[in-house]
Amino acid sequence: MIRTLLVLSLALFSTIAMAQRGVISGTITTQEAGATQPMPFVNVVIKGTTTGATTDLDGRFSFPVEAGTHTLLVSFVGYAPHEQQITVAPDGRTIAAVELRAQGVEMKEFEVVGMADREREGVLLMERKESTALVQQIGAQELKKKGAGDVAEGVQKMVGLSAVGGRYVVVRGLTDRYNSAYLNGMPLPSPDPDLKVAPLDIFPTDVVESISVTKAFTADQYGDFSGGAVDIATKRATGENMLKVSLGGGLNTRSTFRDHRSYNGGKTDFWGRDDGTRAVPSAAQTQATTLNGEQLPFAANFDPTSKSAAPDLNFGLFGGTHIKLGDNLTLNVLGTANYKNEYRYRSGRIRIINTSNTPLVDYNVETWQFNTQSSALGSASLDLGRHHRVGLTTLWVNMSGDEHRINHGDHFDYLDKVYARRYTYRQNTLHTDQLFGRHGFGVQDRLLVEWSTAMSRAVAAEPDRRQLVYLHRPGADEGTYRFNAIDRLENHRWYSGLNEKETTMRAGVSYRLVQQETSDGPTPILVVRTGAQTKRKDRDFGYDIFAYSLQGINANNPDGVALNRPDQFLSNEAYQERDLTIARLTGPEADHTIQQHISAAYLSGEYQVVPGKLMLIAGARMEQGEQRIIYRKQSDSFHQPRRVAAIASTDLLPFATIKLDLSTKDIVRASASKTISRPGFREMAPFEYTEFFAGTKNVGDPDLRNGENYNVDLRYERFPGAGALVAIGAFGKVLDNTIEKVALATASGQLRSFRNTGRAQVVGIEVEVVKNLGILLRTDSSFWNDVSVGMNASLLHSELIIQQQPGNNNSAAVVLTHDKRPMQGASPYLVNFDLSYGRRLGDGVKGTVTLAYNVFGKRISTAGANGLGDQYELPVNTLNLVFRADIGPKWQANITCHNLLDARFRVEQETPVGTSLVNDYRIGMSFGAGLSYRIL
Amino acid sequence: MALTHTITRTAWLGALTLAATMFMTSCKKKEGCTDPTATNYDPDAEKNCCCEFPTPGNDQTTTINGETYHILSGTISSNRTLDNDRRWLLSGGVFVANGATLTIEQGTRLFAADDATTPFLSVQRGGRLSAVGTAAEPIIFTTIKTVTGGADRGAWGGIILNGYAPINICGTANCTAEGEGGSGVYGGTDQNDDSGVLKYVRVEYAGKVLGTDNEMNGFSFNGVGSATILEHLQAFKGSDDGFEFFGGTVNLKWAVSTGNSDDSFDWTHGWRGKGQFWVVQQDAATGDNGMECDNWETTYTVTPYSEPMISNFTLVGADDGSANHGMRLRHGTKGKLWNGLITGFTQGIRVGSECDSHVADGSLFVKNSALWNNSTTYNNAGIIETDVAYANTTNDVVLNGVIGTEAAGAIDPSTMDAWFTPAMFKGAIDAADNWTAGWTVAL
Repeated sequence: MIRTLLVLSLALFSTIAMAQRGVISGTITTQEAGATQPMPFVNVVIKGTTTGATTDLDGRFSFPVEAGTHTLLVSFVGYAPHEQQITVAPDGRTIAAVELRAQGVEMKEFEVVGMADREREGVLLMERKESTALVQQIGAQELKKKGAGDVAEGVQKMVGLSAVGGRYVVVRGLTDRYNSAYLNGMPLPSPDPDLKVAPLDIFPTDVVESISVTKAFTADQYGDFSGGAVDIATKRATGENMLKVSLGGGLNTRSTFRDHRSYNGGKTDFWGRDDGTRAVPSAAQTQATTLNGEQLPFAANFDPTSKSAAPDLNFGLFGGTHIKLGDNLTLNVLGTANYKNEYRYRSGRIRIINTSNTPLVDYNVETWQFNTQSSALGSASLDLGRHHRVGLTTLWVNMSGDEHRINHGDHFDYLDKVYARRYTYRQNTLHTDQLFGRHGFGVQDRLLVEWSTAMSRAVAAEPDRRQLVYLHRPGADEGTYRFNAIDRLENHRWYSGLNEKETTMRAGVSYRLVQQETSDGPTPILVVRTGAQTKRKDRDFGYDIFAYSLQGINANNPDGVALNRPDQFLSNEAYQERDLTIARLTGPEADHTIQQHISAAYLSGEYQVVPGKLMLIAGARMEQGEQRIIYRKQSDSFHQPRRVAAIASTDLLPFATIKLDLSTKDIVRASASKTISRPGFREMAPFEYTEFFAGTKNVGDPDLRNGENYNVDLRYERFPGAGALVAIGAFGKVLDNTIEKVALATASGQLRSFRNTGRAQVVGIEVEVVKNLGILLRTDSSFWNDVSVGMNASLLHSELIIQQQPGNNNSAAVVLTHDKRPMQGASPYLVNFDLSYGRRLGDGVKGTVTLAYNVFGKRISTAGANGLGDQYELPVNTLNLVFRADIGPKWQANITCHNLLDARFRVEQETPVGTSLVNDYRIGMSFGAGLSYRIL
Repeated sequence: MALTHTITRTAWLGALTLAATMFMTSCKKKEGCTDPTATNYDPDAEKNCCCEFPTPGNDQTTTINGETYHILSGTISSNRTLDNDRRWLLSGGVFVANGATLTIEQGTRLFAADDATTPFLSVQRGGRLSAVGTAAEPIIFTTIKTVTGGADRGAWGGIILNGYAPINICGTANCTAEGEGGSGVYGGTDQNDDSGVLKYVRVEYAGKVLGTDNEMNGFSFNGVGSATILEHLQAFKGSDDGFEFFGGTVNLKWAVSTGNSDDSFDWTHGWRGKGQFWVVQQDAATGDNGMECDNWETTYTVTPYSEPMISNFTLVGADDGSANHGMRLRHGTKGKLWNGLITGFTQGIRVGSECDSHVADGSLFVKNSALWNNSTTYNNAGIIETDVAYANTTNDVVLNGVIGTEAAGAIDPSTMDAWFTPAMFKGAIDAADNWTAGWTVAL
């Protein structure tokens, strides 16, 4: 059945009649240390075509060709290319065995061309096998195959990882606080003020070479993590001459060609850049509280608009080349620029429930979004001979989201029906410039020096968010609304901006202190690594808010106001008559500054206890961190100085790893480490802020200190060959002085703060399987050889013990419902499954179809407080289908089908008397098609 | 092809040079004050110079329309008296610390600054406010905009008293909570706690908006104990509630809530004090409930229950277009109310179904009261409506504004509790004894 389905789907891509075909297979070997060794990753192609394959870890390859006589070309870096005539009979299998010979030093031209292609799964598996760290990687090839459009979607394909809300990464049940993000090994700032790790959906896969997640600490990493360190490697300049353009479009079943509500925005919104339309008008900026100019300072732009949603659109440009500047000097450059947009509609409901399971707030919610994402990546590297390379990478990412949202329903404080309309425009930009170098000295680079420096700027803006709230009196005529004049902040304009600047530097050396001379040259016995790192972060945040007082307008319009045409009421005339008054409510708490400075030095060693069999890696990191926040409380006066809250600490963080090669295919790794968790910036500042508007209030705690994390990991991996892997691992963590969000008793609304609450324990098991089904089924059928299956799953148990803290002289009581519960965001299980079928269909046409499935177990989204139980996000089943085809050397096509089950997203609230859904929506299925054409 | 290559390569070199230049130029240093405690602190500055610092203490003055104002800000941590010769300006929250007493002389005028701060006066637990005015010389808290023009609701945060008396929202006996707008921590176990004495005090244009569902009231009594004395207080034109009780045991006699946008009187979180002679006059422009009475919206059954005793109240509503109630009894509150006049509301008395059992067992009642000229008189009021022994009437009562009472069918509250002043009438202000004269202001 599956077979029929796969074949049928592939037929979509091929109009070429099947010719008489056969198969070439074989092994590539070389002579090494007096023995014949298989050679992985060797390119085997039919000369003059792109038909070919790369050998697996055992040096084997196999691919179908048309029957006839061909010239086989075998090439690998540092080896003499080999050509061989071969004849293939119809339906026959021709075996070729080639032994390549090392070429000596005449390899300059090949060095670049033959650079391991880290976008490919096979290469990454090889790296993983050789790695001394517990690392997992996913390359661009696999990301595309599985239809991941951005890094957040990509990491969810990896074992033990999930992303909350499609953005915020959770690794092994540990949320933001316990994770860290790097870009090409350099710390990556977050443009979200409440998050440490940047939302990963801002990185389109077009700029990604590979994503690695390290789950065990090594001394060269920053110490504030316990879950995982995500490193996004951007595409590198390989020197290949290439120029490629791409264009695509898509549909969403709940959005495209349907009614799309918006409002009058700026002229450049399409590009995700505000043209200044949303800036605070200068007339409003200059005044203190009540605005009192002659003219209404704000544009009339509260009226909703409506149009038909256009299909999704994306296009991109990719290019690269190398420039020989001298005999020993080659400059490789690469550049890519991409744009995409989408219209999305979502409808659902949001409720707030009390302990009697009665809704306090019960709204139907409709949102219309227009999202854009643009990115540009430039990368250049300069090879100064074989031993020195310096490079520059610059990445610019811009993301915008424009939302029209309606909340319609009941609020316990009003007898009237509430109708709230809000327009939100968000724009996030990240720009980073990285400069790096690698220098080898001595025979086979006995001393290796690596350094890098980066400067990043992150900007998050939410300009001119605007909201009007209407009330409908029960019994009044249908459609009769008045402005909500009771809660004056409900009708408002909001402007906020965050600017972050981060400078990081690092330098490290590794030296083969003890080595053994063999016929192949020196083999390392003891490698010593040492280095230093520093990062400095400066962040400014500020907002401006203007509240509309509309009592006068209500009084003048006893029959109500038009829900869809508010601008005629919020007129300049009404402003001049003082029926409309506007207050600027921007207080002393409206801005704050954050500074963080971390410096560290590390020393570690890799010792081959039994060369090739048992390796011990151990070391320690000394990390000194200081962070401070400079702020005013809402209740402060400008006559008082700003306040400063600061935490400084010095930590010694050891780690040890044992790598045991049971055979050339079986590897066992064990690792133990200590790491820390630093409080978030705002978590330690005792001023009250609202996380998002109408959200809960948060207040920081200046008495917070670092949490300490103790981590152990054990993993067995088997690499049976041909890009296959079976891995099973277990881990355990004890988190001491965990910093948790807690609820405080408060006069009104909900107030959250942060405390070092106690101790948490996390244990889990992870399993990964990547396999070509042909081998699994021990069949020679070419069909099954083209089918591969991947599966990973994790089981996790977490328990957080909270020491309830009664109030004291300075603080309100903590009113969390449970003193023992799973960690927030931790799913008890995560499963990823994918099935892929690829085959060559005639000359130069290759098709792949991949079916990918993902599910997560129910996880706490908000910890219960005030006698209410926890809120759980219920499991979501995601099924994606992706077709890809290479048509000749120039064309590539793909069709993606996302969310084929049109899954329901639900949040359930537990109460003492049963559960209720408090959030419930679907996002629709999405279908996309794209084409790319290689010009050069 | 060769030409294309040349062009591509030239373009690449150009782009690279540009990128390198951008990288270099972003390292320039900006001059400015780098000390965060300075008034001219510049977060972007990297090179330090020319910092300016504020004058320490509360010695600052400012001149507005030719008058000198003495600025109050921050915490008052030892006893202090504000004299009535000077005009006082509150900038930001002014806190009276644990152990300190702030005395305000009769006739003193305090103004909330119009400087983008959230001015309020907050007495911390263990601190005391002694603000004793007279009918002739009340103590007035208002906004500076009454001087500069444009005075309106929501200008500042009002008066907040924080005490050690019990509140009920923790599920434990010794419950402490955080007040609105960072105005302090309150709650404890001392029912007889003393936060001071307030007499003849008027608060105008309070109700500063802090966020959704987060506004400050005219008077906020947070866990205030029964040794505190509150008499002759007016909340005038606030943007939120006039008087709000968050738990506690404090009593309030002679209180006027005029033209407040939200509820005129509000109790929640286990208030168990007494009240007498309460007046509500709503503004047709804006207003919500005359009385909004809760135990706790999250869990209706937390203890101690809100269970006040109130007699002699006049609630005069005005139609502002949205539905509102004379009395909204809900979310588990108990309470005993006598001698009320309720008129001019969409609904006279509305009882939430979660309070049905309290109505049925008599722990929540309104008796000897007159309700007239309400669109709906009762909503789910049970025996409050139907039990003739409760002696509630729906006949018209003639009022002159908020002045006027009805003797027929009234009960003397002093027979219920000695704290009550004998008053054998329904309503708060007897025309023969207008206790609001002189020190209050009308709409």
